[in-house]
Amino acid sequence: MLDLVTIFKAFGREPVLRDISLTVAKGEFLSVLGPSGCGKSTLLRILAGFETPDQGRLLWDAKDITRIPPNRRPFNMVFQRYALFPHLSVEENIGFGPRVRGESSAAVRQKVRDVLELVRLENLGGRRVETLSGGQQQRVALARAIINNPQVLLLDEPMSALDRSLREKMRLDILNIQRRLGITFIMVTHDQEEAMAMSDRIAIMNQGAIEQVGSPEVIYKSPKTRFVGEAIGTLNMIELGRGVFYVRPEHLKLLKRPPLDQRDPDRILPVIVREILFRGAITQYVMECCAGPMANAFVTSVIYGEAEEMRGTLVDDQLFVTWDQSSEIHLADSARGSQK
Amino acid sequence: MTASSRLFRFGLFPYVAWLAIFMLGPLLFVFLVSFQEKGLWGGVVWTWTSASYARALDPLYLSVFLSSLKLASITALSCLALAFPMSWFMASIRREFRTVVLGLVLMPFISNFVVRTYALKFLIGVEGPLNRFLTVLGIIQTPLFLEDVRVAVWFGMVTNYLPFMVLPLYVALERFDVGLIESARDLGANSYQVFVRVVWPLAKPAVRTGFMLVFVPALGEFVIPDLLGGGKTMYMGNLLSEQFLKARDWPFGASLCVIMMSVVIFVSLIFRRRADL
Amino acid sequence: MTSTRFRKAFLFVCWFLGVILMYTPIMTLVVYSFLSKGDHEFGSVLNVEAYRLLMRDDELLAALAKSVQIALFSATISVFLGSYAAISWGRLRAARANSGSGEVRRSVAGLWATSMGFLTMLPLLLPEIVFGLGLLVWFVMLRMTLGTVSLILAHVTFAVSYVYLTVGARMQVIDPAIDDAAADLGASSGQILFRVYIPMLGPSLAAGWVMAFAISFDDFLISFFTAGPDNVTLPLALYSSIKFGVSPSIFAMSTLVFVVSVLSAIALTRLMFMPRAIRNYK
Repeated sequence: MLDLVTIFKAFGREPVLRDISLTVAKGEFLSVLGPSGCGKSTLLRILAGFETPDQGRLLWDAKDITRIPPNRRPFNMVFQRYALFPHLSVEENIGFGPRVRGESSAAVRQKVRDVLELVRLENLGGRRVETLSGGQQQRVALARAIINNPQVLLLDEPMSALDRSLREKMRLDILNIQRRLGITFIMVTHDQEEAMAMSDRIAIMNQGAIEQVGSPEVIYKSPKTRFVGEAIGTLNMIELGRGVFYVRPEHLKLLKRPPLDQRDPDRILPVIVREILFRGAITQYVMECCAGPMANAFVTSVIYGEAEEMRGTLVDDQLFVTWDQSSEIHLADSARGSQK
Repeated sequence: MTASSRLFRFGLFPYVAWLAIFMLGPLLFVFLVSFQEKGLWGGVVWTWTSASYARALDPLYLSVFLSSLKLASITALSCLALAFPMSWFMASIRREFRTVVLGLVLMPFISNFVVRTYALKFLIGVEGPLNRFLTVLGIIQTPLFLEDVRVAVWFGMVTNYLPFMVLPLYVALERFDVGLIESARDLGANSYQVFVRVVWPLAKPAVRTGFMLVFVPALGEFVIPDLLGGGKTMYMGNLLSEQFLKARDWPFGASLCVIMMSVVIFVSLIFRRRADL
Repeated sequence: MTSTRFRKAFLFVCWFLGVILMYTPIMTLVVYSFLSKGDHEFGSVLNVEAYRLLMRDDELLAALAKSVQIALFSATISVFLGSYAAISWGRLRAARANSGSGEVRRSVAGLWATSMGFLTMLPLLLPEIVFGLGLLVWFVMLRMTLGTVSLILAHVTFAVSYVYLTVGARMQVIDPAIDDAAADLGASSGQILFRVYIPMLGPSLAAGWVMAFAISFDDFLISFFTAGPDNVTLPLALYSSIKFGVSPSIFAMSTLVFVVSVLSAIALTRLMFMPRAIRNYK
């Protein structure tokens, strides 16, 4: 079990991490999600041992490892631009760890072969790393880290250098490897989709602090702050007489006519369609409210698949938007008029 | 902090310290010495005076100075005139050949320049192969380069400093696509306009760099004038080394050094300020 | 398109003229080193007499040995000093990149950057003779005997920037996280140096060494002022014997040195472009 206890770190006078506390279970896949400059990379570097926190402790199985240098930590890292050694071949890159720890070359060779198979690069062992494609380099970086049997694998934006289609494939590969090894993965990313798809839990960071930790589902369904809500998915802010709350786009229902059943006049907004974006599996509607305290504010809704009743809707059509009470998200920090 | 920072934390210090001691130190010392008095047997008597500078303003020395300035400028301009079409040619040929052509131009550069100058002196000397050859052919009656040693000096300077000008110009011209010239022509520019409006503006920073790379060492050059000119014309370089090595008048030599440095700094400042030059 | 053809022809003629101009002295050397006739004359019969004379010319050979000795020392010291600085500078940049926007660090690094750039470029900004004379008075003031040591000190001063620039250029294209990666995989500081930096920078270290060697070996002006009376390097020996008149053995020596230089220059370019060649091949 990995325990972070009130980790504080400042560069100069600028605090980068403000009292981060977090517990990561063994075998867990945790993502740290946040915009650039939120301190997530520094957090990862503290875990790896490249930085020492100014205050706070880092515990691994209740043992204090705060000041153990990176070369003696049972953690390994996959770097953002991979940081492969350009003067070594694929095999030599992967075997670097065992070799510097003085393992026999026969043992190293066997290990390298096994790991190459795991990342499916069996045929490329002798190649120079700069002759590999981005995805292949990614795998070498992964192999180079896991050959050391780390107890925690740290991934620093591992897929940010790959193009979109490759990224989705790599996600599955990384998940698959994690399942097989059963070790803890901690991944830093700014890609919400990636964090959602891969993690057991997500920690959302903002300005050096963790705003919320939880499973993707919990975070999506009940964000504690507006920042968290917008870090994962989109939020429609709705401001009515009774206060401010949020509704996810897929929970907004679109109607061509005002509903006959007027029991809930509080949950109906007249809107005008401004954009219709066909996105394959979903269709996104961007609409402008035309009356009440919400006038001129934009709301977004998405419809899954072919919505029979929406067929023929055009830009500038008038529609009505409605939602269930259960889909309203009320946040502690959303005081009235707090919109941008 | 990165992992190996302990190993390299003070790595810049030896380098900077070395250059400070053996490069800045001597320069500052020369500056100090230029304001002292000459010792009886060489060396320096530490009394502050600007007598050396007053002496340097003597018309005799000023004329030496002017001939150095003239030689350096003429050398730089001649190099420019020849190096510009050379580099243009090198930049306009097919990519595969460029490295070879560049290698050809840089090759003479790696032979020792004293020897090169000497070979030139031998070649164009009164009884050298060139004169004998031309005489035999009946093209000339009296040997060349006898009348005016300055031509020989100029010739030696240009051959020696040409690569300094070619290199920056080539790098600059190679960087922009020569197709640019074709497209300029396509847009209706004539050759003159292509040169003035496209090539020259793009090459100007490199021209400035090349000019300084030739001008600066040429200003202090004394081996070439010494060997090829037979020491008949005095240049800054000869004057300087004589003050230090023969007359052993350090303060005067140092003041000449300082004046020379000021000229160089002045010229480079002009280049930096006046972007249109 | 006659004007295009005319322009191309003109450019080629200029280039050709320039090349001829630059090669004339060297070709003279090479050709006349095989045309010697006695100690101080040249004839028109091909022979290797000059080279035989050279083998008996103890002064020139001693000067050659001196030059090689000084160049070996200067190049080695320059590589240590220059590459250590270049690597450290790369590390400093990496540390800055990793630690975000620490203002203090930025200004300190900026100060280093300015002074490093200034010191590295200084030899190109001022006439060499100024440095030669400056070093002369500086050594005398420091009460140092002019000799082998002063020559090496002077040569290192001028060669070290080239090493720094060569290795620094390579450092710039290396992922700044590379030594974090090595440390993360269990390498100690020493292992990072010997297993990562030295092999990774190998070609540029070699290139820097050869360049420093060439600068020291070829230097005339700085040596002229800092050598002292009893230390004659090859360029100094050539200069002083030239004053006495032509001699075929000088031509022979120069030809030999030129041939060796050309061969090592070709080897050097091979060395520097080899990784790219391998990459293209695969």
